[in-house]
Amino acid sequence: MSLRPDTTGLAPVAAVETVATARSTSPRLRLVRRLLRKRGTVLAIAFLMLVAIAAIFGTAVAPHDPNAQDILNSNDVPSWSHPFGTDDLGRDILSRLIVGARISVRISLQTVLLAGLIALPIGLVSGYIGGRLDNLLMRIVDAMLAFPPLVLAIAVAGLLGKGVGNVALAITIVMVPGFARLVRASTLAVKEETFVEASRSIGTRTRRILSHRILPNVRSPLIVGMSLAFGAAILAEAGLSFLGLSQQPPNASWGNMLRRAYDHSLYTHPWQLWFPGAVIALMVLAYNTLGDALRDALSASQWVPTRDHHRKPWQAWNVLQAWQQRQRKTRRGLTAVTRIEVPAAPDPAPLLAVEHLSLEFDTEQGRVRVVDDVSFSVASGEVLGLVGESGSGKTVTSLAIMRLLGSPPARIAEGAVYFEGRDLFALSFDEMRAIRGAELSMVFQDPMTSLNPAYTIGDQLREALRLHEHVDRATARARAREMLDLVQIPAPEQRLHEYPHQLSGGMRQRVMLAIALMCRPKLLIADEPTTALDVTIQAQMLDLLRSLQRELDLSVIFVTHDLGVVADICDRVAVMYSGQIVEQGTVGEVFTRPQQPYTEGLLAAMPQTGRAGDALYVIPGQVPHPRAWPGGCRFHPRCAYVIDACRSERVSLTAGPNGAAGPTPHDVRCLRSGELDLRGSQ
Amino acid sequence: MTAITSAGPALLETRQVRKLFPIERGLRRRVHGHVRAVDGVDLVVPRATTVGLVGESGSGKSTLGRLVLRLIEPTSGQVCFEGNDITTLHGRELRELRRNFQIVFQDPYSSFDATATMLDSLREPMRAHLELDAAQQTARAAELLEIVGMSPEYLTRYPYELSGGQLQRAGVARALTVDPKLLILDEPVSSLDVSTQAQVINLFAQLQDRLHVAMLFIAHDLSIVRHVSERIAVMYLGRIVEDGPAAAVYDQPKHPYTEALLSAIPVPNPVRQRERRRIILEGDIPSPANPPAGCRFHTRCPYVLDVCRAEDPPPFLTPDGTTVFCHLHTSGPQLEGASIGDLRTGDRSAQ
Repeated sequence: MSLRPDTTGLAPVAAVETVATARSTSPRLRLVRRLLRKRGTVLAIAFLMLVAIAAIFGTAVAPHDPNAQDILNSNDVPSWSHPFGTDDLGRDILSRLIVGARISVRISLQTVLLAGLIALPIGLVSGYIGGRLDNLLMRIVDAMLAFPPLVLAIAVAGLLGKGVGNVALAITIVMVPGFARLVRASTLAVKEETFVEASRSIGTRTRRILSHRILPNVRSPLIVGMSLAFGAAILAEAGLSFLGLSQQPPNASWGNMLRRAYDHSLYTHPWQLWFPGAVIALMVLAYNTLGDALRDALSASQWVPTRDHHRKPWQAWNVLQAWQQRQRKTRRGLTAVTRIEVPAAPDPAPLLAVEHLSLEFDTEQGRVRVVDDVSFSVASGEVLGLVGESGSGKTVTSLAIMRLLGSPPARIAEGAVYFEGRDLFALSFDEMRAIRGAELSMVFQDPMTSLNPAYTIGDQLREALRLHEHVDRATARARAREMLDLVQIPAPEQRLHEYPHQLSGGMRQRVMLAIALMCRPKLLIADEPTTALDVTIQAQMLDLLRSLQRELDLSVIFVTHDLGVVADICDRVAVMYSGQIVEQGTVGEVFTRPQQPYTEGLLAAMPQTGRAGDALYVIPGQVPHPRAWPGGCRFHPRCAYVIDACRSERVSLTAGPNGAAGPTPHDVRCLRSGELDLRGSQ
Repeated sequence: MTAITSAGPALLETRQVRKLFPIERGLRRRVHGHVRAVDGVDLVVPRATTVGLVGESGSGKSTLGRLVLRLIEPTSGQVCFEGNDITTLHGRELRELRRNFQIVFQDPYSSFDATATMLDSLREPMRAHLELDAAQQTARAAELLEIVGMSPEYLTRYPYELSGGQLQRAGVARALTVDPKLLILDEPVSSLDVSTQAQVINLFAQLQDRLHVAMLFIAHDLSIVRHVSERIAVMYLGRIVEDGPAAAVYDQPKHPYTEALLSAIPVPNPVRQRERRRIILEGDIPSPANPPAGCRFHTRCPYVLDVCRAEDPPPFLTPDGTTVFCHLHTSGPQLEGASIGDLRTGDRSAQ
């Protein structure tokens, strides 16, 4: 197939960007590191290796011949020559355990691997192709799962006859259905991923999609499922061996050693049961510990550095946090404060003053500062826009005010937040809880996940009120109705009895707003409240917010990336970049006469701004990751007006040339703010 | 039939294409009605032209994109590629055809397999359609990355090592691998940040100039498609309500819904934004399982007439080449192709 001539040798249409960061460690190496982090896992691996040596070398490492009888020394207690003692025929128990390991290891490996291998194509085909084939395969699997596994294994082993090989086959057959279901379930999930749709639209054959796209992605859950099944296989073999179906005497297996001790020495020499019993228990424990560790490591490696890594940073940190919680005790419900100095409250005190706030995260790769010396204030009845792109720190700043970020990993490293003169960072959990939702309230981006699907709208509204005020049911009900009326929800009486899924996205967001306003807060923090909505619904929501804000004389911090929304609803705006405020002032001042090149770039890059047909203004490069903030001015690698000083000098937020003279302050973080003539939106 | 006058045969044309998703209930999965996701759409994408397809969630725009790609089967109607009906193709023929269409998805993260390197993902279309050896494949992949402005060093990277904007550009590179004649862009910039969004939009404009590939740009934001589209089609509840030259649709909307969509986009200038006359639509978009009778927009339309509740509006071709489905042009004020905005100015002078 020849390539179309005009594509080959074509000059790049965009400036080629070079690789910014060094290649990170390979996923496999990271997995191993994660596995070895826990002491239990290391012990389990060590024990399994010991058993593996016994299984491989067998009689060569056994101190005695495992089948040599010595009637004179029967039922010996442990001694130097027989560390675990001897059985009723005088055979060395340690040697028999070592030889018996081979059976256990062989059966567990053979059955689990074989069952996995059989189940994999069944699950893949069943899940991916679906339809009648899926129905048929799954009904067979269901029928097999309806029998208790051990009973089924006994039946199969009974049918096939005694012997190790037949027992292995029986256990394999019993294991296949479970694995097949596991693979099918994972396949169903992966099948819905966009990259599979991409492969289909490219024209890739089904066989190749299954082997190259689905298989690598269902591998991890199958590996985990298999590693957890090893223990079950050992137990099943021991059980069948105990019943005399597996390894035949005089050859040793852990199960038939248990049986012999049970028959001959249960009351006279009970310790003969302890050793095989303990080895079986330890082996199962070791397998399961390894399986659990593998699951944790695989799921962590899938989530922490992968997809969410470059999305909103706190999502990745949430996962990381969940992962770290198992290792360290978490401080319940409040972001930890580790500041050394407490900045003084401003005088006169506004409703809310954020003073020199710095926020850090403790991540796997070390400490990362995500918010750096942020100060702003919100006056009573004022709407402040907090704008920035993802990674700018705007959302974590708003969450830090409420102290909603979990610790670890989040930590307030410096600063204070004064709400009506009270330092929120000095409050206890109970004091903070009394303020949250009552005086300081929050609305989030996604109204579906913020509402509890199991409760009615009325329940959730009433709960918000009864947490903070002692009111009787009738009053709570009346207030709930009144609030739904206030946020202009039609037929409020009926809505009170409905569940979140019965409402549209716009209605749900109105309900969220009603819940947030239930206790008549003084300050509302709205985190991208209209981003998930359609534009026509967003327009309704902005109108509602504006009228409510005026009616209730509410102060609002409006966190958003949309400068158009800020222009619509905010009085003042603070623009954030790389954890710092780079410009703040009244919206009119900042948007029409920006003093900071980043603000100018953001305004120019909005598709509403440029003329049709013209190329959009582009800020070159990417928002840097908090771990890789450049020195000097953090915007300098992307700035069109950069001079040498920008690369080295620390730039502070100062009163801009307009702000100093004008009636309202306009602060700018730029060395050249006085000399540049930047374009605002027209 | 939409009357579009363009020289030469259309690259892509849908004829009354329809997709109904059955609503199943109960143990026996009896069908209780249908979600009318796409309900009789005529759309034309001429050769080497970009058509913007705009609508809110639930309008059926993404379903239409997938129908065109044959990722889902239409319930009725035809999808024609270069004049040939492709709705009946299967197996090998369908795979061959897919060379000509490629898609770029909304979420750049989920559209790449997290377990595969960029090189592996870029090679996938070559394996399916081009006979190249391994070295040629690598060279081609590197060249493609350069076309979209990325260093070939990224070939060895995994998706999680790239940012959203970089991944989206890699997605474009993957789509360009087999020199498609049509690119379907399904909300390609809506998950990106403002500064990255502009980079990707400009990339599309440049690609079209250089490669002469046709594009169907699906988006919910009219201001985004305006920058790259020659024509814009606006969808509401499974139907196209207005379809015309980009400038005409953007500057002189003929359908009340288009006008409302335009007025709902906030402008980043506080003075202008607050002075602007805005049309705030009442209520939500109705359920596509039970669309209103007559004109589907009548439940939210500020200019609704009696005829709108009963009769489906017929297509009306305006002098500037726009096809609009609205009774206002033939009944009531009889706009006859004038902009909806003229109704507003009429209001104002009356006050």
